[in-house]
Parts: sequence; structure tokens; C-alpha cells
Amino acid sequence: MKKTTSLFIALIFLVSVVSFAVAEGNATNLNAANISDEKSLNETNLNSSLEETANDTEKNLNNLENETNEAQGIAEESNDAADIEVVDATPSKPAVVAQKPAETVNNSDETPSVTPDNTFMWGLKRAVERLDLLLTFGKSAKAQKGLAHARERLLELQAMVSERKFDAAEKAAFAYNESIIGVENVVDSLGERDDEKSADELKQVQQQVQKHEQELAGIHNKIKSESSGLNIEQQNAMTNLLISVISPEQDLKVKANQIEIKTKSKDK
Amino acid sequence: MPTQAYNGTGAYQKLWELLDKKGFYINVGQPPTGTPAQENLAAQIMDIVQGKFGEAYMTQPSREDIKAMLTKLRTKKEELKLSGPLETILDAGIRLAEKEHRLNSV
Repeated sequence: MKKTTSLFIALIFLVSVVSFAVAEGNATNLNAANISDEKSLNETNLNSSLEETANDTEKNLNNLENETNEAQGIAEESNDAADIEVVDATPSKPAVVAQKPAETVNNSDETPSVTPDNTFMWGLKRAVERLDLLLTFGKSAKAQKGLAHARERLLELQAMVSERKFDAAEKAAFAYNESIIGVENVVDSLGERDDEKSADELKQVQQQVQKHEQELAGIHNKIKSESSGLNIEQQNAMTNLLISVISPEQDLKVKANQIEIKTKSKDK
Repeated sequence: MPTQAYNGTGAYQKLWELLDKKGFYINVGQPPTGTPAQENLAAQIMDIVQGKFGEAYMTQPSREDIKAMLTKLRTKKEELKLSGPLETILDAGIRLAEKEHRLNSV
């Protein structure tokens, strides 16, 4: 009996460690600038999920090297929908890559590590993300993480549209909306607090949302540009997907303004 | 149920134009006119999208209420056996309504 119990405890411990490690891996991808070399080196020894994260960050580095080309803008990038760069990842690289700020990365050529057509792995990935969100404290940090998850969903959506897997793309769109609604709820609760600190936090979230909107617009364009060669039914299916995707900026702007007005009138 | 701002004919045309205005082009050529009952359905969807909920609602209805409205309209759509461009436009309209009212997580 004792043996069984200790075996069970050991198993739980192992699962916790792996989950935490994967969550950390995602955090590395999202908040790369804040993570130390040491952590990243440890990550290279983890399971294959982490290697996928490493793959992503590797691509980020390559994208950064091409930063001068980014000025050509999202609109131009959208014409190159089919040209997704595939980069080999060596497990030893992410330690260096993790220090690059994720915000400056050109995302258009990124591919998601796991896509919704792989139901089990995708479910696992999202479960880990939820855990990650649960372990994140602070409203603006939560919102930031929510936006990062939303961004991952957009990449998945784009990948699924490229592969003409509309059902899987639909799942990504649904999950994207969940993330955005989560962010909006965080903003709502910031608004309820109605103080200067909340207003500051809200401004931070707004900046993140603006960046997110730019990415969203890029992916919108990219998805639209993929519609050539589709039959009318498929084109409409794709439009339906785009209709479903929430654009958060407008809503958040209004809320931010309301809070600003409240704060000012309170100060008087 | 919502008011019917576009009661009569041309509701599909209006809904199609509204979608287009929001940047979503539905490729159905020129939307045909439905029967009065079918047009009425599109008019109701349009009102929900635009947040016009009629006198029955003194304040904004809850998201659960709106979801229930859309479920009823979906059932009605099946009853009326909508197909072709009318169905495509209506489905797109329902999606837009769901998005506008954040019904994803309800």
C-alpha cells in the first residue's frame, strides 16, 4: 500500500514538473525578454513540446535578422502567404534567442507549434496555457498573457486556413475569441477599480492591444490573400471565419476613455 | 424579440451590405429577395447585430437572452428551409451578431 501511495505521489510530482516546464516554455516564447539564460538552458533538456517552442523562438531570431525588410509593411507581406519559411532548430540555441524581445518580431512567417487538427496535443497545449494564465498574477500581466495566447490562436487559424482545414480553423477562431473575451474581462475589472493605478495598467494593456490589432490586421490580409483559387463556397467559409474573429481595440479604447474620465473627475 | 427595422423586402440586401461595410464580402452575387417570413428573419438578425431590441427590453438584454434569441431564429431558419444565398447571408449575420455580443463564452 505504501509503495503504491509513494508511486502515485511520485507520478503526480512528475506530471506537475512536466506541466510547469511546458508552461515555462510557453512563457519563454511570449515574454522572451524577461527570461534568463539559465532557465532557457534548462528548457533545452525538456520534452519535445519544448523543442517545438524552441523551434518558434529560433524562427523569431531569423525574423529579427530580417528586420530591415519589415518596413515594407504588413500589406506587402500578405501577398506572400504561401512562402512560409521553415527553419531547422537546434536545441542549444533558444538560450540566446530567448533574450530577444518578442514584440519586435515579424510574425508573418511564424508557424504555431501545435495546430487544432491535432486534437489531443492542441487540447494539451491549451490546458497548459490555462494553467500558465492561472499562475499569472496581476491584471495587466494576465491581459498580456491572454493576448499572447490569442496571438497563438491567430497563427493557428492562419495555418489551418492555408491547409484548407476549415473545421480546425473554426476551433482556433473560437478559442481566439475566448482569449480576447478573457482580456476584455480583465479590462472590465480594471475599470471597476476606478483608480490611478488601474488607469496606468489599462494604458499598458492598451498598448499591447494596439500591437495585437496590427498583427490581427496582417493575418486578416494574409487569410484574404489566400482566397484565390478557392471556390465560392470555400471563400464564404473563410469570410465566415473572419466574421467570427473579435477585434478588441475599439471596445478597449472606449473603456479606457471611460476610466480616464472617471479618474480625472475623482481627482478634482 | 427584437424590433424589425427592415420589415418588408430588402432585408437580405441590407444585411449583406452591412457585412460588406464591416469588411466581410459574402460572394453571392446580388442577394435575392426572400418570402416575407424569410425577410423578417434577416430583419431580426440585423436588429440584433445593431443592438435594437425593441420595447420588450428597457435595458440591454443579457448575453444569455441574446443567445436564446439567436437560437430561436436558427430554429426558424430550419423551419423556413432557407438555402442558397439567403442561408449564406443569414448564417454570416448570425455569426456577426454572436461576435458583436460576445456570445462565444456564454
